[in-house]
Amino acid sequence: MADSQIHVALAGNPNCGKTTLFNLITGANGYVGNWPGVTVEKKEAKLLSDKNVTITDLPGIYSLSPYSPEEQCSRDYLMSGEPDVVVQVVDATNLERNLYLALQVIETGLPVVVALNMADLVEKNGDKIDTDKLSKKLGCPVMMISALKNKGITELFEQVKKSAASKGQVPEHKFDSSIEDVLTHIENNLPASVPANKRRYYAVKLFERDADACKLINLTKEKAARVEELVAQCEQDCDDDAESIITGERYGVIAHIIDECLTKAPTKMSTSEKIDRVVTNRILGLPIFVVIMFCVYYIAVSTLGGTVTDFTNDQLFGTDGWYVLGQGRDAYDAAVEAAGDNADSVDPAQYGPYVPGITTVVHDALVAGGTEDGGLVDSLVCDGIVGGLGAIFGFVPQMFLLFVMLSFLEDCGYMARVAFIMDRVFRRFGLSGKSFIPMLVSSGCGVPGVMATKTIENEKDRRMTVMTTTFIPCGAKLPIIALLMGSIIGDSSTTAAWISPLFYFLGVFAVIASGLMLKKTKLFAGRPTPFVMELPAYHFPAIRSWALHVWERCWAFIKKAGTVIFASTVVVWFLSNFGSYNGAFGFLPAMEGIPEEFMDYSVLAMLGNLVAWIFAPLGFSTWQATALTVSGLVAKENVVATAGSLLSVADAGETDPSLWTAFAGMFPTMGACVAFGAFNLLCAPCFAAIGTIRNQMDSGKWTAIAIGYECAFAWVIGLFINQFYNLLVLGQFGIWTVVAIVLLVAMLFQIFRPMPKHAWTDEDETNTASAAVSA
Amino acid sequence: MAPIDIVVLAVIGIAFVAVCVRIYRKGTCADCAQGGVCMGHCSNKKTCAALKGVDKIAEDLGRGIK
Repeated sequence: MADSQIHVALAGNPNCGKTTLFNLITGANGYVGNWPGVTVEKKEAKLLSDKNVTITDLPGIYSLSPYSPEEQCSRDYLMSGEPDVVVQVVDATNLERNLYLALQVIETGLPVVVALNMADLVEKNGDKIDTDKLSKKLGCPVMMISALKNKGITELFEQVKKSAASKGQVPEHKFDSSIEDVLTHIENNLPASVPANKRRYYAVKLFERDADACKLINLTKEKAARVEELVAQCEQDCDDDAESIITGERYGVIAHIIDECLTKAPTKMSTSEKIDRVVTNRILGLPIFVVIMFCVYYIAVSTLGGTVTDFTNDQLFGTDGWYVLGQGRDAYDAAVEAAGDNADSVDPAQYGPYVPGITTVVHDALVAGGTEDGGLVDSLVCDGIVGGLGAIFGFVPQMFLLFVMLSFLEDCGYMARVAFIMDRVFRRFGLSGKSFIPMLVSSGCGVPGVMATKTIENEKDRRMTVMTTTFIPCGAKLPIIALLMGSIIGDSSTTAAWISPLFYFLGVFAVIASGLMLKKTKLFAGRPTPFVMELPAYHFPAIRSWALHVWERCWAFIKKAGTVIFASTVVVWFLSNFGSYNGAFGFLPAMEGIPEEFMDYSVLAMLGNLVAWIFAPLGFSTWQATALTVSGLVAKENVVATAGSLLSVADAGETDPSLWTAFAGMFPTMGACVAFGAFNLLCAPCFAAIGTIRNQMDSGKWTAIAIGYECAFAWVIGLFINQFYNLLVLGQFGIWTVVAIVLLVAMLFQIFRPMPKHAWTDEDETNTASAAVSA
Repeated sequence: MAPIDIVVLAVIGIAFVAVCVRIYRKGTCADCAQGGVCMGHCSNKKTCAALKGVDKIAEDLGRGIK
């Protein structure tokens, strides 16, 4: 066996630590979230210590009954014949619930090794598990491990290799004798082709009337009738349906095993339970969440993150340059002030250890190499590429801080509580906390967020979640938020620090308002899906996992900047620097007699002006603002990169406006600037996310509805902001103010009108009711 | 146009084409690893949900066009 390939499947309940174990043993960086439903499809990688071993991480499931896509995916894989051995990861702190799936997996007849994960927590709680006895009861090896602390892993895989050589086992656990009799009869009716170690599994499945198993076994008519007769008789005797009988029996076996193998320490309220009494409190839960998210965005964007970003934007990528440890800065500033109009003649290098900005270095190198100062190549490199990418890279420090805090909240277990808290809010409009999980994932990226909707069984709930999940600002939208905040508040960073958290809550508001409005339409009516989730114990995140989490997200951002954003900045530069003036087409800055605002004659200006009228009621009908919005469809970071290129910030001298003020200058009022931000944060997501929506919806019509709704909702919110700002602050009233008032009244009516009866009824129930009425 | 201009333009041109080829093969998204959807290194049209969706959108939009 040593030289041949071994396929190992990692199975287990949601949030029992499968992906943490998978990452540890394969060196992979799969996303680990401290809430259920993170892994929605199986993942494969080689074992680090032995490349002959292939590990498959299966989605977390509670049972092998194929009721959800994850259960189907896991069951199909286990029964495909591919895995040589199954490592059943069990949360040892929650043995009773986790053993249910373990029994089912053992029943499949595959060689199984049970890994009791979180051994450290069991020890900490003072509980004791007799692994030898448990192993005997289950009929397979049982090992104590801690994936988080890397304990017992080597021993586990030594055992896995031994078990892979075996041909599987017949389950040891037995049900009540009357049920066992029926199962034995069913086993006797199975075709001889079913191997001995799988006969029990198929007998149980046929007892449960599992459609897939019935199809696969394909009994003769007589035998099928005999089996059905046996099951029906048993149901009658037990006064219960077949599936419930087996479920009850399994829990009976589990109770017996727990009695014999687990010694519980005297129960006392754990730290997690004490924290949860406050954090998930019916009244305090939501305000605490709001305060925490406010602090996260405030710290990331307004304080430390903002300071580092200012340095990166203005001094590292800008033309300011910087003094090492600030030595000489004061003397230089004094010299510039004294020089007055001749400030340009002051050489910063004379006053201390001065390091010029990247734009200056690149520009000087190009000019020294023979490039024309301000010519095509100089402009393309400095204004287009360095300006565009510099604007994006400037936000990496803010993004890093945001991800450090969000990842901490996820890994320590708080975000799982948020799903629980939000369940109460979401239930009011027919969604469940299950829909909040994709939204949590979306705070990183909308693509996996939309994919995470796979776990929602109800089709209408899934569609509504897909339509609303990208309202939550993803990492790529953070630069837009930071740019807007900088533009709106200018230097007064303390007076309007609430701006950046406000944009996050705008996303949450959009989800809730959309849910309330859409649920009252027939398209989304239906009973909310029940939501049951285990709340993991709070723990300080493993540094490796936390660091990987942050690194993955930041690296994805940097990778995108170096690929998609780079290509976009080149395209935007060409479109904004080439155009026709006086009947001639060419490089505009080099044309004779062209005004200083040469970009107004560019191809980009022409294209932007074609659609700019759509945004006139929102207050930003300039071609530049339109170009930013459209470029955001490629990737949301592009909004900032395009702003960097179009506003020629890289070329700005010290007295020229910075990125913030140049950006704010594009808008006539602050209302228009905020409306621009709201529209760009809420409208259709990037192409990658649109593609994922198409894939998840599996319908062109529904994709069009989703994208159309998002754009229309974003436009209406932008209209409200601009028109009500004009009315309330500037005292302006016009036809669009009337339109905004009418739309606001309509929206409020749809939000606050009582939920119609059909909103809580499933379509099949309606049909049954109508059939009964007509009868 | 100075020789350095030609070199710089050639480098940018090659990088641009390389990025376009990468986008064609792997799409515009680099973040799937976050969702446990893929490992971020092997996305292609067969496994990447985003790319599969984009292909379907292209099919939808192109239906009936000859």
